[in-house]
Amino acid sequence: MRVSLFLALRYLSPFRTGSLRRIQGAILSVGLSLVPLIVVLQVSDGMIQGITARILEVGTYHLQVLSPSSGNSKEEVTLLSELRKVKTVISVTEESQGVGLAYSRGGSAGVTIRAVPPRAWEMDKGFARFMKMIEGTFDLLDPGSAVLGAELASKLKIHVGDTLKVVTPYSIEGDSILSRVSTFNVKGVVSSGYQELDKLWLFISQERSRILSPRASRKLIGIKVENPFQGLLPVVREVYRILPRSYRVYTWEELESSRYLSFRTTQYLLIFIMALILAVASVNISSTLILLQIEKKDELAVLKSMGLSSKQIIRLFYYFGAWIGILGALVGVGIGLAMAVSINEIIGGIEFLLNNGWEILRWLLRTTGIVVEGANIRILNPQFYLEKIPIVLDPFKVLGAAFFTVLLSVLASLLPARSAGRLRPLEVLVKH
Amino acid sequence: MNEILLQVEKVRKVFTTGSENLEVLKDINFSTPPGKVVVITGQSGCGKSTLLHLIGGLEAVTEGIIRVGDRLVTEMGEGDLTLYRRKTLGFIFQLHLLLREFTALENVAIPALISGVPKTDAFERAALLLAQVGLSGRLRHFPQELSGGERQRVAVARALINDPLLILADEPTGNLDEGNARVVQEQLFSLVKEYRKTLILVTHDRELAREGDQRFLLHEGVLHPL
Ligand SMILES: Nc1ncnc2c1ncn2[C@@H]1O[C@H](COP(=O)(O)OP(=O)(O)OP(=O)(O)O)[C@@H](O)[C@H]1O
Ligand SMILES: [Mg+2]
Repeated sequence: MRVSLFLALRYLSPFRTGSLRRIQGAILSVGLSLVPLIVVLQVSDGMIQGITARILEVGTYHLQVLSPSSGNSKEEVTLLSELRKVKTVISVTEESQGVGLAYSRGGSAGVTIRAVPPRAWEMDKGFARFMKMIEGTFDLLDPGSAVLGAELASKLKIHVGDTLKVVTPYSIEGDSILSRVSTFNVKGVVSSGYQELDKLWLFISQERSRILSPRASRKLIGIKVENPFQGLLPVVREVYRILPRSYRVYTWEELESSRYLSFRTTQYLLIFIMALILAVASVNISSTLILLQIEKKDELAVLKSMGLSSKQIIRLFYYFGAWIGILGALVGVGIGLAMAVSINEIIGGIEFLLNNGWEILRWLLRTTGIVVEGANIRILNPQFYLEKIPIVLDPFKVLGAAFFTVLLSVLASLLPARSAGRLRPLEVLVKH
Repeated sequence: MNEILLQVEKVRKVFTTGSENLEVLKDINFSTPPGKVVVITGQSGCGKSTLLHLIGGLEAVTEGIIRVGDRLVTEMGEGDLTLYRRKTLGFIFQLHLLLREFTALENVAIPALISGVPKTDAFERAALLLAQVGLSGRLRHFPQELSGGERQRVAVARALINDPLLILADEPTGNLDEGNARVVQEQLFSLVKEYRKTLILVTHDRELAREGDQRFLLHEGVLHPL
């Protein structure tokens, strides 16, 4: 065994008197500073998925196939069943989207008309999971029925059982637009969790899609797969293989790119900041090792007088640094993973504390005569987030962060190592 | 055999502190064949430790030559000095200067490990030397668990493990009471004789001084034979 390693192992042995105790603080500070990085690495993907999942399920789909104008419908039917056979695909939905003006006795509003299969609610489990029924049912079996977004319903002041008229352009020739008026029975009111979408969405049956002029609407096939956040590309490739040439396929990442990109940017920024925190903490290692070097000056001088070279002393300090890094990484990864795994409970706990604190504050203020109104605090607004952040532990990210920690620690021991190596034996020995 | 192991020739050492020059050693000359004990005595502050440090390559001479075997210590660079300390020298200091986190056995073995002796061999030899200084029952003790005399005996064993040509001892009994001093002295000399080492011994201890093959008094920067 190399003598530096031998010395380092003895110096750092927990069963021996001292040096380990000297570096405990550094280990702890490095470990604790690693915790945020680990948590962010493990949870942020889940949070992005949580935020993104809803919009994908209620509207964007995982993949969208855009048909070239109005395709031959017979050809389209075989296409759909082909697409359903692709591996990991769980639902294939035909949809036409167009715009119109809805009005009722209560008022009028511009709407996005989504003509979906009558049984969309049953066919598309993700859609049913994230769409909240506010009133009635999502029942489009009767071609005369419609389902509205919650904001839209309240703007038009209509409820289940009321009727609704929709004006749509059906041909645009030159300067003149001819319009048609259709009547629908309101069967249900839904909420997607996004007000700006609930304000616009009007669902009707695919059978009535002809009220949408082909030139003012688009026809798409929405595809959903088992996991939109993983392995989407092979599906895209397979879909392209099946489709005739004139079709285009878009992934949700492309369709929601502005939203998704800003999440990703935020995530990278967070990771960068957390890494910076860790880097700052590793300065602790430098100062700890400098103290250790001062404390061990005598022993280092003796070792040098016995022929330990400067290089070997430098290596000894690198081992110290690496050891702090390794133990710190263990501590950090341990605590970090524990926190990541229980992030939902932690958030719940914080909410509980905040709300109780808030209650107590309100109660105290009430005794002094001040009445404060306020809703309960929700850290993750369930309107936008999943109720639970999905947690997928990624061992590679953990290993990466741990490696980064050890690397930083070794870098941090560079300076103390150099200064220990430069120590001249006599400076110390002469004092005795 | 008339060979010379250590030759010190016209050595001068001046310490410069600020603007003051302190000429500690003026003109040191002596040489010694292998297997001899050289004793150096003198008043406190006369430069005895300094002379040992020069011979050990821990400090550079101002002028003069120090030759060990056929090698010039005074011409060596950092790398050569490291090897020289490793292979040729054994140090014993007034204070034992053992490493706190290491057992007696490990403390003795470390110089051997530094010079690349395999671990098992190093420990075997360390155990043998500790037995020779009467500490076979203390192999796993840490320095704090040993008496002053015992620590110094560990230091004696440590100085011998690499089978050095030259042992430099700076008041090895200086911090011990009379009884312990005699034990350490006895063991040091018996080992030096047994392994036929050259010992340069700095001491105030009259008893110890009597044992020298060559004896010098260091006074005003010059060695005077006694
Ligand atoms: N690095 C140094 N810089 C300046 N002066 C020094 C240095 N080392 C030693 N000296 C001076 O040189 C003189 C001789 O010191 P040295 O330690 O060799 O004495 P010594 O004979 O060993 O004394 P003692 O018996 O007390 O150990 C002292 O006056 C000391 O102050
Ligand atoms: Mg001295």
